Amino acid sequence: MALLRGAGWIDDAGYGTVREGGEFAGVPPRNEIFSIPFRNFGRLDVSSRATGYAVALALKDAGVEYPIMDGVRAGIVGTSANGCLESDAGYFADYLKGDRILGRGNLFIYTLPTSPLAEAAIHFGLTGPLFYVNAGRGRLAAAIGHAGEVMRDHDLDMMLAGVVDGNAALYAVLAAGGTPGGAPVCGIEQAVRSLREDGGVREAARRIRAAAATGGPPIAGAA
Amino acid sequence: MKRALLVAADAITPYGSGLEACWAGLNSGKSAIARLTRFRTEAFQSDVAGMIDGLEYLGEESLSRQMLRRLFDGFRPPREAKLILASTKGEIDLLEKRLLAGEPAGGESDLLRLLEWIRDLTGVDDRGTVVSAACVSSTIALGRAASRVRAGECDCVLVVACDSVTEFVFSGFSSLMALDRGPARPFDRDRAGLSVGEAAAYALVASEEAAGRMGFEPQAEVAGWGMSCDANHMTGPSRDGAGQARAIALALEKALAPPEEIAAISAHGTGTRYNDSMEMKAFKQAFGAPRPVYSIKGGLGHTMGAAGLLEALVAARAMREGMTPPSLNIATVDEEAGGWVSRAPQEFSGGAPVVSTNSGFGGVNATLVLRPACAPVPAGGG
Repeated sequence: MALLRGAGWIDDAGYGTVREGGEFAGVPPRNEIFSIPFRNFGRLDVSSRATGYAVALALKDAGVEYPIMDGVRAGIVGTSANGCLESDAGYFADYLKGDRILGRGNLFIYTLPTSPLAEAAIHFGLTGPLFYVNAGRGRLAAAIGHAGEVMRDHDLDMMLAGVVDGNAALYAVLAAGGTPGGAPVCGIEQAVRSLREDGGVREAARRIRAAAATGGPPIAGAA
Repeated sequence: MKRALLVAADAITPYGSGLEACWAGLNSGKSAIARLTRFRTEAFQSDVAGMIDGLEYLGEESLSRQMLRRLFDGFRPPREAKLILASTKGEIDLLEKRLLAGEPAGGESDLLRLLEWIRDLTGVDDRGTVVSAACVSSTIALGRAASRVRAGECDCVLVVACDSVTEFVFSGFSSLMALDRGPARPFDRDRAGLSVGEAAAYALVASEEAAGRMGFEPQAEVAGWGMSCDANHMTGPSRDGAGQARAIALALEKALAPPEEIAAISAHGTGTRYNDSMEMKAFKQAFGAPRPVYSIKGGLGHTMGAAGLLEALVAARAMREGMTPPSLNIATVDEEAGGWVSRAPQEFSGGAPVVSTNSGFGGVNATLVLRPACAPVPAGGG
């Protein structure tokens, strides 16, 4: 049975985790958050950096070490409010400024909604399914739901699921029982129910904690 | 176990309206990749692309909406169908239009807006979901649709896929030095890159019970699906093909199909040196012995978010015919592909399942296994 085992978040004012419940002001210290140096972190776009931080915090919260060890099949599903609109506009505006002669490849590669997920996959060693979903309202709940379904469908060990909007991101670790990691936060269905309406990442973190607190132990058979 | 059946499908491609036109075009041996006149190309690596006739660029309506209007002309899906839209850039030409006019970007190119428009166009009740995963977007979408139907979560799913040839996308691929000067030559010894293409397609996936109730005749079964990520590089595939081989293995496992049962493979086959080489390594790992492999991207170009669905539909047709379409624009088959890829159509045993596989930026891989609709359910699957 897959459960939500940890989650991490970051926004423009601070960062935190759900299971441990910590909340900190400012920018996360990179050398403490990332177990191994994140190559070219400074060259990533804003969403990829936020995703990287949130995934690192989530894995830490869940007690999962990385790079994901051999034999652990793990993937990532992400969502956002508007795809990658900022990156799209940034790429094309830069191209127009250059008189439509040469686009910049290092900007173009971030014009896919999956680019932040791919950067995370490379750093954290996520070799399982990777895709972006957007169901409109309740998009984080939908991303978690899809990740849970894919886990069941392919008998995976772990999935990350989350949301990024600009420099704010929240990612959750969904893992099957018996996978190395910490005690669970809540069932996937509990998390999905608590996130039916969208809000900021801090609000999402609070709702997941509240769902865990009011929902009792993880629901047997959830997800 | 319910089966997920492909019961209705169609496409609009550079060969014209309809899957029949696409099939005939591919088998004519003539590529539909032609000189680009939609925007200036002097600064780019290439001046050709696979484009659909009669679309107005930067006009009143996006290229995607123009394609989709034509695609759904005459077909009304069941209202109860769940809806998935698969695309990489959707209506990015609307963003281009605003920025070219000196206006700030708004939400006009948001895929959710296109999804809502498709819902209105098709009349389905479902709010729908966008699935995007670079060039495996619609491969994954079709796999997710099949998964939901097989699991009994819903009776039918309408998968809609589209992407278009825009200056945004073309300039981007050119900036990455990914384009062949002329029409792409997948698996050719001297291949030099891809050609951008555009297309729109839909597929209705339904359970047997729903298909019967709605009066649809099954065309094929979406029997298996698998996904993986190379976790290696943002634009280049892993050199050893292990990631795609893993996606293939997962799809075969899902389909309860041993590798030796697969009669033919629709490859992603973009025409880039790295992709085609990676794929041949993956196929050799996954299957061992040679079998017919082909790519349709020499005929249509790389239709990005639409590629997975379109290529699965062509693979389903190939399966019914017992014959692959030719792989176009090959002068000399690359040594790595010798014995697998041919310039000519390749016959294979009718009634046997086929694989359709795709890869994309970010190292994503996704594979589908298609089985004839009338094939018996494999042991262990009932």
